Amino acid sequence: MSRLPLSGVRVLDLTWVVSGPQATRLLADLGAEVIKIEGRNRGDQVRRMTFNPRVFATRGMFVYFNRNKLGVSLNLATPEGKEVFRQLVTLSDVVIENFSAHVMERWGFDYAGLQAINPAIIYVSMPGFGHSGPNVDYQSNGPTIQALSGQTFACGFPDMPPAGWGYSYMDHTAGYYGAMAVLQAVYYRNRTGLGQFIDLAQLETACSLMGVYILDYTVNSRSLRRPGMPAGNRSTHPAAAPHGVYRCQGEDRWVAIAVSTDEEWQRFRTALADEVWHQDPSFATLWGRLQHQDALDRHVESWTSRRTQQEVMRLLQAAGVAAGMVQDPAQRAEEDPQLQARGHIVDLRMEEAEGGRVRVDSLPMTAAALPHQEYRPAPDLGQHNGDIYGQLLGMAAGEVDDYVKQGIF
Amino acid sequence: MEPSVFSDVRVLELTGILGQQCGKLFADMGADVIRVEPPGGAESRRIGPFLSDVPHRDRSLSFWHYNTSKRSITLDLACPTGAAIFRRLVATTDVLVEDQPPGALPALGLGYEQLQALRPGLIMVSITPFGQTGPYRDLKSSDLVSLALGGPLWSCGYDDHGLPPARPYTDAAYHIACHYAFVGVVAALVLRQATGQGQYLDVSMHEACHDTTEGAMPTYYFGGQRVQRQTGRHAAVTATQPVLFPCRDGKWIFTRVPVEPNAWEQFLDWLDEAGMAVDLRDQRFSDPARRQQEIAHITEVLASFCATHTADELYHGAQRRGMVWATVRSPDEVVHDQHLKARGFVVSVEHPELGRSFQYAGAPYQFSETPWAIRKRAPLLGEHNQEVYCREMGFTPAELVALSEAGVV
Repeated sequence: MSRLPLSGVRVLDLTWVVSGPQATRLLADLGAEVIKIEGRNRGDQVRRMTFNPRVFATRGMFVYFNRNKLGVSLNLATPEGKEVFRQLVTLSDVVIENFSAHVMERWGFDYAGLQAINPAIIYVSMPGFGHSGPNVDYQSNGPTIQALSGQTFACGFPDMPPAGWGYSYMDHTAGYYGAMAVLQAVYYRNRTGLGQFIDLAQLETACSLMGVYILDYTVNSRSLRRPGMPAGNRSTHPAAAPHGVYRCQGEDRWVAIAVSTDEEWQRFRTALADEVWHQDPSFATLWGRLQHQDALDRHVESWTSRRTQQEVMRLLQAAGVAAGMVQDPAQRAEEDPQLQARGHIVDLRMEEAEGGRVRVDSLPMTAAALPHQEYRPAPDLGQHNGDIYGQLLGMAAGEVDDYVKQGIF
Repeated sequence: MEPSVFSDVRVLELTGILGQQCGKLFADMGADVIRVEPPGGAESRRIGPFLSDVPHRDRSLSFWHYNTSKRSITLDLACPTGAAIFRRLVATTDVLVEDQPPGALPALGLGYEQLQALRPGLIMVSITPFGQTGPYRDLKSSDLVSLALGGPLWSCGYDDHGLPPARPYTDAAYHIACHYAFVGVVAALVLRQATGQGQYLDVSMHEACHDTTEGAMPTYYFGGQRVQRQTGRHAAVTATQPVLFPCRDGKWIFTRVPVEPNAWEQFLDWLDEAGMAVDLRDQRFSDPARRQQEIAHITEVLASFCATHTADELYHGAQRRGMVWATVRSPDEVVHDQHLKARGFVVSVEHPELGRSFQYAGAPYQFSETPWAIRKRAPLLGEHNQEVYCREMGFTPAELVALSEAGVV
C-alpha cells in the first residue's frame, strides 16, 4: 500500500464511547497505527450498542467508530499493567484519552509522567471541562456540552421549547478537533522534535463555534435569548426568503429551500410555471419577501406539499435554486446518487468476523494521498495482544497468557 | 514571539462563506493566511450582524469572527493581470484553500495542475457542496440545504412530526466541511514533510454532513432501522422520555435520570432535601430494570422538581452529585461562565481603527508549546495590499495605484 500521511505514527488510544474514538478513527484512516487499549472487564461501553441482538458485539456502533484500529486489553490499575503501559509509551508518538480530568493523573500518567517516560510524547486529553477551572470535576456527554455552549438553545422554533441536536454532534466535533490537535502536534514535532500537551475541553471547542452569537452580545449587547429567537429554519444572517423546510407528499417528507438574492428568486419563479401567487409584487424583492415571510412560506408549502420531495428538488435545482430533500438514513444508504457515484459508502472487509456485508462511511474527501482503503474491521477486545505484547514488546507467549490469567491484560 | 505550529506555512484563501472557518483554524495557529478578496470585498463582509447595526464591509461581526489573524488583499482573478499576479503569489504559497464552484478556477487557468507547476509541493483544497465529481457536482446548496441532504436535519426537531425538522445553530454544515478540510490539509502537510510532494484535496460538504450523524447510519447499516427525531434528545428507533424541562427562572435544563445504584441514591437524597421525592423510595423503583418500566412516572417527578429550581441551581446541584445535567444556555451566556473565565476562554481583541477592544470566542483547544491565539482582528478590506504587493512582491507604490485604478486590485 502507498504511504499514508500518518504512516509510521503510533497512537496509544485510551478513548472510549464516541468523541475520542471519532478522533482516533480519523487518525487510523490517515494511516496511523492506533492501538486501542481497553480494560478487560468493561471494555468500551459502545461494544454493547449493537442495534441488533443477533449480531456479534464487534458490529454496530463500535465498528463504525473503531474500524482500522488494533485492540489490546490492559488493566492500568495494576503495577504490572502500568509497567507495560510505560513500555508502550516509550515506543509511541501519541497518547490520547477522553477520561475525566484526573483519571490519568491518578494512574501516574499525567503529561509530566508521560514526558518523563518519553520526552517527545504528544499527549491529547479531551475531557468535557478541561484540566483547570472551578468545574474541572464536572461530568459531561454530548448533550451536556451542547446545552452549555448554546447549541441546544440555538436550534428550535420561536416560542417553543429548545429542540437542539438530535444526537451528539459534539462527540463528532470534539473528535474532529482531537484529530486536528494530533495532526498539528505531529507536524510541529517533525519540525522541532518537541512534543506537547493539548488540553481539549470539549465545552470550549463547542463555544468556539458560536463566535458570531458571542460577538453580537459582547459588541452589540444583543442576546439570542430574546423574543422571536431562535429563528427556526429562517435565515437572519445572511437574509434569505424563502428559507425553510417545507412539507412534501408522503409521511414525514420534507424539502429544504434557500433563496436569497432577487436573481435567485427569479430562478425560483421559473420552476413554478403554473402558479400565479409568485407574481405578487410584494415578493419581488428580498426586502418584500422578508416582510411577508409568513404568507410566502404558506404559498411555498402549498406548492411543495402537492409534490414529492424528489420532484421539488429536481424542479428547483433545474432552475438553479438551492433545494434538497431532508434525507432519512435509508435514502442516504440506498438511493443517494451522489454518495453512490463517489463511492462514499464502502463495504468493510469482515472475513475476520462472521460473514455478511457491513457498510461504513469513508472520509468525505478524495486525494491522491488518501486512496479509498480497504478498512479493517474493529478489533475484538484484546484481539491484538499477541501482536503488540508479543511482537512489539517482545513478551513470551506464556507470559502474555499469564498476564491475561492474572487480570493484567 | 511564541512558537507556533504553522510559522513556516503560508495559506492563500479564496473563499466565500463556506470555506472561511478552514482559514481561521490555520491563522489562529500561526499560519500566514492571506485572504484574497475581489476588489468589492468578499461576500461574507455583507453578512450581519454588524457593529452597532451599521452595515459596512469592515463592520460585519460574522466576518470579524471567521477572519481573525488573517491578512486581506484585493485582486480580480477574472482579468488576466489579476490571474498573473495570483500565480506569482501561489509560487510563494504552501496551501491554497478555495470554495469556488467546481470548474471555476480551472476556467481561469488556476486549476491545481496549472498551479502546482508553479509551486511543486503545493497543497490545494477545494471545499464545495458536493465535491468535484458526480451527478450533484453542479447543484446549488447552502448551510440548510446541506444539512437536509446530508442527514443531520432528519434527526433534529420535535416529537410532533407535524412540525418540520429544525435547523441547528448557524453555519453548522460549513463548520463540518471545514473541519474535515483542515484535517485533510494538515495530514497533507505532514505527508509533505516526508515526501516533499503536494496534494489536491476534494472535500464534499455533503459527505462531511453524512459522516456527522452519529447513530443514524450505524443503526441503519447494522439494524436496518431508521431513527426518528424527538424534542431535545437523541433521535431513536423507539421513543424515549423527555430530558429537557423548564425551570423556575424560565430557562431549561438538560437532565438524565441516573442508572448506577449510587447515583440513583444520591439523586433521591437530593429530591428528599427538597421534600420532592414523592414515592420514588418505594421498593419497586430500587431495581434499575423495573425503574426503566416506570420511567414515565419518574420523569413526572423530575419535571416537578425542575420547575421549583432555577436552571443553574439544578446544573451545579446535579454536577456536585456526579450527574451530567446542564443548563440550556443561550450562546452568549457562556461569556459569564465562571469556569470558562478562570480558563481564559473569552479573549480580548483590539480594534485599533475603532480605538476599542472586544471580547471574542477563544481557543477550541489549548496547546502547551504552540498556543492558539488571535494574532490580530480580522483585516479591513485590502488592508495588506501595500504590505503584500509592494513590500513582499516588489510592486512600486505607483504600480499599485495603477493596478487599483485599473480595477485589478
